[in-house]
Amino acid sequence: MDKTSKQQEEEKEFLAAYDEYSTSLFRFLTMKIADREVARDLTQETFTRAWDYRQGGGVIREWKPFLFRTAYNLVVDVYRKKRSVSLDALIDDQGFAVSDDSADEKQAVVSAEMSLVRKGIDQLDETYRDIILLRYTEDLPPKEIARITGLSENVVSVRIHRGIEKLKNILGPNTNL
Amino acid sequence: MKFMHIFKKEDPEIAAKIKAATSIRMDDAAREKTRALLSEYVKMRPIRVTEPAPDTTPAHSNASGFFMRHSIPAFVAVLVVVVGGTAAAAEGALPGDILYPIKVHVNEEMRATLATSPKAKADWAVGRAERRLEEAATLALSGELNEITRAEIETNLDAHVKSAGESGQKLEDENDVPDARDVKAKIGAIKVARENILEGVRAVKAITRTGAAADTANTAMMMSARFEVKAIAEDVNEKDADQLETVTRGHRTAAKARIEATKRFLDRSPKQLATSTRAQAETRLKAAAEELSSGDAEVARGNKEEASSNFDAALETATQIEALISVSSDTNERESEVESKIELGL
Repeated sequence: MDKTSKQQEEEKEFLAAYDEYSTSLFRFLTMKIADREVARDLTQETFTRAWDYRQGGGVIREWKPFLFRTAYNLVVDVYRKKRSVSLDALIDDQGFAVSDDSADEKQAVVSAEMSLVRKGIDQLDETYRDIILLRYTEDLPPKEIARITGLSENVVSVRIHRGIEKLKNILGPNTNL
Repeated sequence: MKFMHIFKKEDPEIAAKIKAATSIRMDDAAREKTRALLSEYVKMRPIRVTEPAPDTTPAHSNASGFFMRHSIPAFVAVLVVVVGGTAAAAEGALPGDILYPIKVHVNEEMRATLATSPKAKADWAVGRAERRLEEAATLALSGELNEITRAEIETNLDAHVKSAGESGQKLEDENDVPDARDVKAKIGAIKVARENILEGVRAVKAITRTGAAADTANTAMMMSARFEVKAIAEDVNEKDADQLETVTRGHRTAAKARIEATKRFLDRSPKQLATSTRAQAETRLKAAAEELSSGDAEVARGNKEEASSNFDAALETATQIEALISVSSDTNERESEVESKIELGL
């Protein structure tokens, strides 16, 4: 394969990965650091690092875990600030929509419940919150979460289980969780 | 034993509710803008057509910052098209190489123009300083860190640290206290890592010169590593949490630079390295990389003490590799000298 077509193919693959995973990366980063603008910058930085890695001769077999691992490390390395805004406030304040097509009344009930769930997630220790978000929001299996966080698969599975138990305790018996 | 089977029955309702409650999207305009910037970025940095490395290691902190917030100036794009191939080849250059000035004064300066905010500028300056440290560690491994290359690296390092400091000052002036503090900590970490790598090289050389026999290798390795860690620890007031944080970060930076340098050194398959030495170096490299990775995981979990301990271990293991290779090279040189003398009948 000549140099030009190789470059074009790589570019196409890279931009396809952006199209497919940028939203979930942005979502994960926003929830982790509670700052939309910084999350956008970090999403961009994650992709530039992925390209730098590829450009330097590295192979990326699976984009999703690679990108999440890079984003996770980026937060650890570069952006060490703790969250100062609640997840619920972040979503309300910045006008993010909750996906639901129900009628108004039902929407109000659902929104209230969603708000409750977000407040519950907020109260989780970061140890559990990251893993719960990766598992349930991003649909990543424990094996992938283990690769991203540097934990063992067993530890991840235990934390998912405990995280859900803690979330249930936080939300109390009246919720359907 | 694995316990995953216990948790296999995940309630789909829980999953659906958490997913719905955390549904966030980047707005379409921002998403498209970022896509356009990335599209320009990949054209600026073309893929090298070489055999790829068979690894997917995480892209950890080759810190750069949140650059590319704005459009890339057209003249930069033109420049890249013209010098693109050379620029890509220069990325692997070391001080003393013909392409090294292109790496430092063209490639890196071009990337610096993409950093617009003071924080992004500071992060990239720190990233450049880390690259200099990695170069120093690579040259040290191959015995090519002489006074000229060392001076060049130190001059560039000073310039990067100064640049980061100036950007940090701007952040302070803008009352961005957290970012200013972060930059200050990163600069401190660079200084700690610099002492470890540049001064550590002298210590390793001094130790290996005093004993030629291979059985002194372990002693030398342990001495060199402990000497450096102790020297650094004595430089700071251990009661000061910020300084301890700086030392921890510095050890991480130094360990990472040494690990990357070792990978690079071993990839070049130096002929002067004995098979047994190479095997030992590879074993230690793996151990150091795992310790570094464990340290990062502990940082993510907020366990500072464990993280610090892991970074120290990674640094010590990585430093041992340099001592190991220095002893091996030194022994080989002496054997060559003896052989030459025998041949000359001296």
